[in-house]
Amino acid sequence: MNRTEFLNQLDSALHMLSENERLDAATYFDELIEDKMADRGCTEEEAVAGLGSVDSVVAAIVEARTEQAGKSAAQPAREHHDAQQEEYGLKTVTVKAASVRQIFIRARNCPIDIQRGGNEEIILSYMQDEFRQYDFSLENGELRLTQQPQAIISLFGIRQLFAEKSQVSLTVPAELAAALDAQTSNSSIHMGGISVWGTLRLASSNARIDANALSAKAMEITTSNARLTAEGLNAPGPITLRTSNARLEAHQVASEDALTLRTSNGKIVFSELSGTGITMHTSNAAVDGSLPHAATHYSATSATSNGSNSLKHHAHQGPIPLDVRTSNSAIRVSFAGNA
Amino acid sequence: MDAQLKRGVIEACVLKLLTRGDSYGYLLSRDVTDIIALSESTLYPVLKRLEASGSVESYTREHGGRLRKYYRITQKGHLAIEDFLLEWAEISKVYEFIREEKP
Repeated sequence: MNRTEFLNQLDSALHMLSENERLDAATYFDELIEDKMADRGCTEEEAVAGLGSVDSVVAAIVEARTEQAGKSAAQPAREHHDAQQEEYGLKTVTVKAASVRQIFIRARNCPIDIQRGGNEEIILSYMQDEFRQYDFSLENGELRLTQQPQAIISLFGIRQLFAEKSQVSLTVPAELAAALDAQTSNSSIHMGGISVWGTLRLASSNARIDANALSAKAMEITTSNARLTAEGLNAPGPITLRTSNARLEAHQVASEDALTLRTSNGKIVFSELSGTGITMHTSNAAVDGSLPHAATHYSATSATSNGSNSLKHHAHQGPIPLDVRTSNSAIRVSFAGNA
Repeated sequence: MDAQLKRGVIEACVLKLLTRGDSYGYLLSRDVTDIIALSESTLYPVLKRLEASGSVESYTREHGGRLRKYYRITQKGHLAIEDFLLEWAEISKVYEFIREEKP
């Protein structure tokens, strides 16, 4: 394909764009072809062939254009500069604890810290800046903090992923008469010293979660690609702790229902676990810890490959099913009264 | 490489190259390709974005009997390079953490 053919095809493929935009693209690629020929001493056809297909060039142009449109859409908001500036900064909202039955947090790329405070109130604080804005509401006992979709794309977009500076922090009574569901991404969650009357759900990704001294009706704590540490948890309902590609540590975790610990490519380290059934699954790493009752209390199902398995000859048929699985590593489970 | 990350890296490379002097589409494309693999048409949207964000300005000059569009880095562009380096320092910390963390 020669230069004229390429530019003609490009022009007709860009028919949805304005005259100006088509001209801008044509000028750029025309110049590129000419400079390349001069620099490398190649023919028009060779220079054009190096650009890739017309389709891929169109895709690149359209991509740039969509982003520009996104930016100009965000522009009117920026014109109200003063109004917007007031929205920026650290926001703190205090509500009566008695008026809340459910707390619901949906953040992104922002750590969440949940701690105990006074008995009467729930305090929510969060940083608003050009990257992060939130909608806050309290209706029918449901307190909701939801991060808005991002309007402005940062130049590099990397700092947002790793910034730990602007966290959402939630302070609740030690006895929280509500359910709590907090979710973020790419950021850590820390929660400690709280008794939640409803169900507790914590979820993140690519960052660690630390949970200690918590009780709730039931618990589900999930992250990925990072360590999950749980200590002193109890619930009448099921407790599930899950991560991936990292270590999972659970000490003094008690459920009066099923207790499930899952990760992959990371060790499970535990002590003093209880539940009506205990499941521990990982891969390529050891499962290592001790259980609070004698071996006769448990009936075990276990499997590993390429590793020792202390449960291999567990013949007892106790009331508590114990399901332990890994691969390429050892299973070491000791029981109270055993060495 | 992750698309978002690659985009940021290419933008920073273009800005850095422009600190050495004004340049034009083909030369920038050639110079960036020396550092990071990319197709020849990739730089068009990158330059559009940098121009839209005010990190670069463009002007047209006559060269060898035809017009050529040149790009120049602005003050904002210099700041963007500093931002990039700061962000990278944060990423290195994360990298060190990931590299050292053994299961």
